[in-house]
Amino acid sequence: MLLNKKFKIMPRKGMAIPLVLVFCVCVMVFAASLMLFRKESKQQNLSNVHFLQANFLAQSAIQMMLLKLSAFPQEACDAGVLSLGYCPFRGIIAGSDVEFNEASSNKAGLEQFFADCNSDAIELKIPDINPENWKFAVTDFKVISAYTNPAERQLIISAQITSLGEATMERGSMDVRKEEMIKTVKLTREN
Amino acid sequence: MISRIYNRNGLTLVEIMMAVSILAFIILPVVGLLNYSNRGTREQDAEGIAANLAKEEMNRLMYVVTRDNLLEAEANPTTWSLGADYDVKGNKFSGEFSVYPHSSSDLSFSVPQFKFHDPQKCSGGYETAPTDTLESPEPMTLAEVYPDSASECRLADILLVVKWRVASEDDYDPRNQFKLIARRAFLVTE
Repeated sequence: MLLNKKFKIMPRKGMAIPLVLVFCVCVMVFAASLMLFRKESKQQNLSNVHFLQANFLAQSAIQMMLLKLSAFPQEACDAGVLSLGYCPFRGIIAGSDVEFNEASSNKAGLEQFFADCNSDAIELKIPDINPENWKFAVTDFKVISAYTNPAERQLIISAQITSLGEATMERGSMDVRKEEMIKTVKLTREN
Repeated sequence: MISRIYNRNGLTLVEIMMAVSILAFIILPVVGLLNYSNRGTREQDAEGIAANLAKEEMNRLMYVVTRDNLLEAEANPTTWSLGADYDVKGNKFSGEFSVYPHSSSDLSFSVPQFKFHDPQKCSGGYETAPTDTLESPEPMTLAEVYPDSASECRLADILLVVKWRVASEDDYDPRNQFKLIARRAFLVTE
């Protein structure tokens, strides 16, 4: 006999079913991971679209605010100056160190200014949409810095607009997505 | 010296039949699943491309296209800049946008009102009566602000609908589409 004396000859009878079962388990694990990957990929795509929807709505609120700022720059500057605690009719004295003064400050002017820059005050004119699913608003408007340029006799204000876009996607049970956007603008007023 | 020699009979017919049955029972659905997954991957790929194309198009409509060109699509679906059935990797993409302008006479904003007082009373520039300085805001339309160009549109809503289909589909499935909505302002540059 050519059999190697050192090796044991194991039984082969009854091995097919265990082998197939092990193989099947591997295949099922592979299939499950494939399904999981696909599901996650689908959610990622939906999330991307949802982000775009909310992001463009936030941009819409910024656009409204920019329109209002371009139409009423005087009032925006006055409200900004008052929010820092300075007299809106006097402005900011050239060369002075501007410091926020809580006691003489009134931010209501800025709040009034951005209060109607949203999709509720001026509704979307697009037909066949649910306005509740497409909402945007300016949520904050604040002055970052202000100074007077004596050479050009200009009051220059840097302000920050914060907006929020809210998109509700019925597809894929995505619910509401909110995106915030911040834009800094420079306002100038001739003194 | 051979220690043990076990039964070397081959596999029984019953055993093979059972193994093949189990294999068929598992493998056939998995093959179907692979096809389904493959198709799903292509659809996901197409949806991702559609999102990117939609973003580019909406950015163009928001910041690049002139007012006159944009308003040509007033309440009238217009094919996007990429044309109908735009092809990327064998997938087809179509987009349409509509524009809904706001009339300047309808655009009424509430404007903060400031009660005038002698600024010289505000020593150091600090406001002496911050709560009395503000009055109730008053509404004002853009047509009143810009009487010479009251008829010009200064705000418009944009609706962009993008749809896609993979190479194996002949028509666009209504489920494979999404909307983007935005509002664009036309600022006065003097």
